[in-house]
Amino acid sequence: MTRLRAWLGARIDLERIEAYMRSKTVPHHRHSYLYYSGGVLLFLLAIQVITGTLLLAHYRPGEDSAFESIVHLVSKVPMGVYIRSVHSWGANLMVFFLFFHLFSILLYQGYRQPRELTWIGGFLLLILTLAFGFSGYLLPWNQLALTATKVGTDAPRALGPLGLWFSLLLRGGEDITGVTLSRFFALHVWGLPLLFFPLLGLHLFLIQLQGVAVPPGIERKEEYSELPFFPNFLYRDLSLWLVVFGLVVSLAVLFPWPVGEKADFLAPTPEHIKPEWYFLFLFQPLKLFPGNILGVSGETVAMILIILVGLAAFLYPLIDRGAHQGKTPFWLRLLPYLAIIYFCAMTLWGFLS
Amino acid sequence: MSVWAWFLSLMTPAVTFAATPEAPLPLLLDPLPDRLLFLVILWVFIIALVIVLRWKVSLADALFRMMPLNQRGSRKKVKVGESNRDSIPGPPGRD
Repeated sequence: MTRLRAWLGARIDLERIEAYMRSKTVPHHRHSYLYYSGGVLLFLLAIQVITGTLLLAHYRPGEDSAFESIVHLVSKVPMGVYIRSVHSWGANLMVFFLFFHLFSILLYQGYRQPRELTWIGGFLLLILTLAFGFSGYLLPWNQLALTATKVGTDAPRALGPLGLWFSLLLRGGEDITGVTLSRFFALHVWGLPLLFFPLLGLHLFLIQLQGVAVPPGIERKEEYSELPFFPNFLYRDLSLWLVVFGLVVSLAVLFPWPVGEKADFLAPTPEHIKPEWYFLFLFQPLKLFPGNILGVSGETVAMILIILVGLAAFLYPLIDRGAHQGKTPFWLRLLPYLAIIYFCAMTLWGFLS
Repeated sequence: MSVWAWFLSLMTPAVTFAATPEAPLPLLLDPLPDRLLFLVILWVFIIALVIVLRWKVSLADALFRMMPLNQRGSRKKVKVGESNRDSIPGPPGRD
């Protein structure tokens, strides 16, 4: 070990790395538990990469082979059903913790100067994660996936020619076919990771550079200390990762992800079709809008509103520019709470209706 | 049933067979008692590891508290409106 260390030390500046690790700290205060969500997300991402790679060994994209390969996986391959279920449950938990991460940062104004770019990068990572979920949903090529993808790729058409172009680009034609499946597969395993991982690297780099933010009230009163990351924070992180691992495996073992029925273009749309829970906050308001608002289609108005709200959330640090001086206007302080209430209410309503 | 079984399965050629939508699709699941037993063993293992990690956390925190303040002062953080400044008041007495 000593010889290996000496060999590495002659090539890499190990002392500098060790000095950095020794000096890395995390703020320690009464809301420190919020900091663990980022680590949990990285852990879940690792689970997704590992299980996704294992699934690739058996999955075969194609109109005539995708569903069959899933059936083969869950009925013939040892552990296949569990690996697939861990991948599906892991994806759901990842999105759950992503929203928790986003809302916690919004509440303690972690986006404030000088961390605007970290927020913007993180928001793009959220969009990409949702795109992972959407593209991955079609891959088993079952009836539910086909219908949900049809609804999802229909939605942009409400935005006129640009939306139609985007819909055709996603589908590879007017309808959802094997071409769509190939495109979604390419996106899921290659296109999206190509964008996701460099962005994640930048996000993590910025966090290392600036450290994590302390809630403004606690920072003003200096009611916090700094805790070493290695090993004090890391041990805490590892404990939570173990629990999350147990949770994912338990869900996969007790509630294996269903296979469904093979996609059939002629089959009627399944009743009460709705998207995955993490799209309900977008899907539910679409149902509430009237068919026509001042001569414009209600769906178009809803889509434009969704895009505007998304854009505002993306650029939120530039809207709340006074946050670093504690000069956030009252209505902006109220906004994160309203966003959380809206998200939870719409998701619950969509889920139960 | 192990991860090795999965890796060995990579060597078996993928078999294409016609799925019959009418028939319930078979999931290669172990019987429920076996699965529950697996989960019990898994959680006992996880809880044991978490207990060990908690003990390590307490130990690491205690060592940190014993460290002279001037040594802890080498840790720096970014504070809004200031360049890096030396920290730190002592850590609170809770995790």
